[in-house]
Amino acid sequence: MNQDFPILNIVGSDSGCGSGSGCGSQSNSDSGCGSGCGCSSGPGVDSGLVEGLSEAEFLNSRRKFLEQASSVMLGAVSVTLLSGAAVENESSSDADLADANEANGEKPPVYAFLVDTEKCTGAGKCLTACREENNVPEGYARTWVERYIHLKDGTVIVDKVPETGYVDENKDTYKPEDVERSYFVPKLCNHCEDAPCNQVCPTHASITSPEGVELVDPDLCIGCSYCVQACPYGVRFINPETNNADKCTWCYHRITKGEQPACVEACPTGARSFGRLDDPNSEVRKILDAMPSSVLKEHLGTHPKLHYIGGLPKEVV
Amino acid sequence: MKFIWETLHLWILLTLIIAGGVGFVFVQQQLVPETYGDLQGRYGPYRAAALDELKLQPEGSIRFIADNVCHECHESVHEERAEAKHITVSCVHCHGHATEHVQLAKAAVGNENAVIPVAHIWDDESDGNATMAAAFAKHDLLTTEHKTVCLSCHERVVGMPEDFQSIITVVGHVDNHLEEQGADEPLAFNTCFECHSGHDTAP
Repeated sequence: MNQDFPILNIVGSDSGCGSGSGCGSQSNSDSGCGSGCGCSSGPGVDSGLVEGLSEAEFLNSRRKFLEQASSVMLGAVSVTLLSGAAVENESSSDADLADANEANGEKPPVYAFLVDTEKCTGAGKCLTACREENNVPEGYARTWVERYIHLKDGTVIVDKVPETGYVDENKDTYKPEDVERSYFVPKLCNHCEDAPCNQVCPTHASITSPEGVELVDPDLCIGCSYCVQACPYGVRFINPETNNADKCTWCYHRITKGEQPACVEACPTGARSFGRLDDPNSEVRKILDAMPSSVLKEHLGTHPKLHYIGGLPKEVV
Repeated sequence: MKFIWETLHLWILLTLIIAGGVGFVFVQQQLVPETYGDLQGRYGPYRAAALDELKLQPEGSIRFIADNVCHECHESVHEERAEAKHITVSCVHCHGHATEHVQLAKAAVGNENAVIPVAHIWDDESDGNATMAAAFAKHDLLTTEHKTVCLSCHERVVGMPEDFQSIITVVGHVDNHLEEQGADEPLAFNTCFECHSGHDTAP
């Protein structure tokens, strides 16, 4: 076995059969690379040598190949770069357009929603309006009103305002003499600046419109309900009719036409208001500037755009 | 020719790489939705056309009818209500959602032969003891003198803000008020409307 190695090395300098074992028996053949050697490649045993190509010619052909291949690759790379540059040009023209819009005062509006819990009477008009406007299926809600009842014995009860208010079969059963204090808190999507629901969406179906409204793209939503779990305010649900995530859109189809959201339009006491934050003359901006306000779960850093006038009791989350 | 033949395996590899790249670009173009990435959101690109689709929802129309839409035709009611306390209460709260009614009315502009269905009259005789929710779900447009349209706000409920309670307790609790006024027991369905009118509610 030991004698075989030099012969092998002469025939194929880099045959790749350095281990020796298993190759020795075939090392006497011309090619030095019989079956079972596992040395199918390698310049030393290239078929070119067998066909009588000199080493210089062989190297030359390799150089030729590399030159041609690299020129092809360079072409491909340059095409990619050029198209990339074209895209960059497009996006820069977009930026110019955006700048021009800003100069024309066409910057997308900044909205805020304001709730005055002191004014809410629990009539439930907003709930019916929302369901009618947005085709929300029975048993689900994009907005709801919670009632907090602090009883004199210290317990706090939370219930939901029925859609038609406390009439007919939903007549209120609590007696005023048992109750220490009680109030209504309307809830809806907070349209967070840093929305957790938006971050977790795997299909980019949860989107933030240029106006800052959190929306769901019905085409891309796969109904995985990650966003339903991610929302700290519990405003999302899977719509059983469309199997998409569904949520309050601030009536996007209304506000983009200059109308108010349906719930705001419906409220008889003005507990809900909606308006632009970037307009110093808007009612919402004036109130937010003049009065203290709070948001839900501020410690989560979601920066909600739904504000409650005054401080909220600690039970409200 | 010999050169090509000798380096064939490398050319095959190169072809496969290029074909793979072209295939990837083609498949990507097929799979990525149109207008995807035209707009950048807070957390990456999204389908810009979705915004236009959402602007048209639901079914391309505004369904909740605001008061100003009603007042376009019903000017006299507007005048009647302008000074009334209940101007903030939307028309639809007592008259139903009227979505169909407004659609028909808009379509009827300039068409003399158009017929707009009249409002359904909700009263105890024709509807039995139907609740407000049932009546509103059944009828697009209704007129009524049913007491529940008043009581949905004026029934005193635990949780109402004090100033609102003080408004409704100017006349005392609604039960006391009815007793005071000598309303018949059991209450008629149109008890409230015996003294108060619908649009201008001052007695």
